[in-house]
Amino acid sequence: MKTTFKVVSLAASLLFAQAHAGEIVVIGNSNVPKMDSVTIQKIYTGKVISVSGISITPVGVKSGTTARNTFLQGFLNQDEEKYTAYWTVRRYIGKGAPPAELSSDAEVINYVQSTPGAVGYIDEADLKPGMNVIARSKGGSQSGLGGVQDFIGNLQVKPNSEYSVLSISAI
Amino acid sequence: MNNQTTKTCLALSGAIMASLISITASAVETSLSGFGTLGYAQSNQSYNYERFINSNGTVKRDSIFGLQADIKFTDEIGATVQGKIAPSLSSDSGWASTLSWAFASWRPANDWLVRVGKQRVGLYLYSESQDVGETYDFAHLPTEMYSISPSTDYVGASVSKTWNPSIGEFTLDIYSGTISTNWRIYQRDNVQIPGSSMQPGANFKNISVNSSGFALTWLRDEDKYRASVQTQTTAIDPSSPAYYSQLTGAQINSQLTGATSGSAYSALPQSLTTTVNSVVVTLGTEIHLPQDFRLIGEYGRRQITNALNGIDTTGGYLALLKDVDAWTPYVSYAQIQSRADALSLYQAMNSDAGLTDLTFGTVPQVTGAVNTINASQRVLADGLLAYDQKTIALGTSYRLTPTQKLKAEWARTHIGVASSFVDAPAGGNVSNQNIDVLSFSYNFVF
Repeated sequence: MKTTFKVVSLAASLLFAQAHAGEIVVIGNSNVPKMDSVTIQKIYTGKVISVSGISITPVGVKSGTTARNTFLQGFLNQDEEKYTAYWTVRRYIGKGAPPAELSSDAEVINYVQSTPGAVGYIDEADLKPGMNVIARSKGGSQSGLGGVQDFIGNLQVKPNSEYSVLSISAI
Repeated sequence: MNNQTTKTCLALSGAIMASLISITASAVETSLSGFGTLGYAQSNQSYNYERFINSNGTVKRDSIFGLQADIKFTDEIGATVQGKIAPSLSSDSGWASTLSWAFASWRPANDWLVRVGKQRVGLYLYSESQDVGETYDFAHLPTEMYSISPSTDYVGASVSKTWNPSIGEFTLDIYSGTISTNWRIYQRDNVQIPGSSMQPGANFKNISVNSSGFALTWLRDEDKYRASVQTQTTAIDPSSPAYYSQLTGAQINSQLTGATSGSAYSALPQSLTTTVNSVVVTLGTEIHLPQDFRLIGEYGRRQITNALNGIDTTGGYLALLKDVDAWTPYVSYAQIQSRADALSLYQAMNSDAGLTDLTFGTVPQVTGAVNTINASQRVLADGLLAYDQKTIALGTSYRLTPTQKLKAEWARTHIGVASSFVDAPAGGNVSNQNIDVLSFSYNFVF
């Protein structure tokens, strides 16, 4: 139990320390459920096409934008070069094309809100009331659920374990 | 599957794609992309190596340009079409545009993928993307490995299943299909053997390859491991007389009244066939090491189960690469070798010893046929497709942008007994010789 408390304290400290970093949020159409960062990673690498029975259509913004770079780093742990190389290979082994690239956060918002199953990432500053935020980057100022889960996940603690429950209640 | 089945399969997949396009035209999303390599290679020898490379230089070994369309009909159903322009596989003189891929895909769940149509077998580490030079760092994928199978394309069906245990990602691909392609046999001597369809120079024999097998790929972080097993039945089109079935030892012997067996003739297969059954086993790995080193190695074995032929080979390579910013220098060693008894047969047929060892009952009756016998022996040797070569290569790639690479390589290939990658000069042999090849290429995708 003592160990548990230390882990939770550390998680909470890390969370609050990064709470105001100005991060990327992943939004989804109203029919898209909340997800963890691993699922987001699998969606944007083409390995997951449906979640909870809902077909997912990811979109991104064009290369060179801050939102894209931050998203790639935060969710995929990749830079533009690695991401492009990954999809170049994946495309030419016949396993599909990369997510469509839109030109701005505004386009992403419009597309996601009007397309069932769509997900996209935008700068947190562009969030508007009523948007369905399904995930945030590891350091984002979210409710804390995803960040702590990611942190605890890195410690290889099983979901729904004592740690998870305590961490939620601690935030 | 035979050619008729191939055509039926292609027509079926085409019809499915056409139907899907018409039904869901309003919802279709299409993603277009392209790739290309502009390559130049030059050797220090006057004869051709790998079809085109000689001391005059060529752009034809590595240059290729292609376009690909990925079409998404629904979230689960799509199609991929890839066309390319590259040096022809049915002649040495021209370029040809071919449809490399044309398949419909159905992904009923995250971890299942079904594909029908023309696609590519994951036989080697870089099989699927071997036409796209931008996707790997070698200036040229080692011929010693990437020639183990006459084709990695097929028209048929495949099913892929993926698992994600804690130790990485496993993908099992199971496939079956057929492809019609050409086997290139170079006849070096300027002779026409009576009854033979072989002509001096490059001969392209149409073959039909039925293949079935599986490939298991394990991705662990950035490391990749692959093992595959494939069974092949390769048949030579009856309309293109098979080198297996004509100009046989029996035919030659029929010209030799009273001739008894000699070393060459006795080594010839007793029964000849126009169908070759083979099993191809490949293993490959790409491992990331400390200090940004990478180790890439592949091994391939093609075992012919019903005939004695030079294509019964063992091949592979080992390469060490290091990523230094945009540079990736590498060193590699590759080797391919026909099985020992096939090489022995090649040597017996290729040398005049085959004739001198013969014991003729009535010498005067056969002396007039001596030149024909020797020439036919060498033609048979060419048709045996023997391989015995090893290559050491030093090269580098330089990443201009995430979608463009420059590559350069120096390679020294040592030909042992013989190699069918070499077009030996008329009347001569290329054995125990080195071929130095310098290659440069610009590779891109868009």
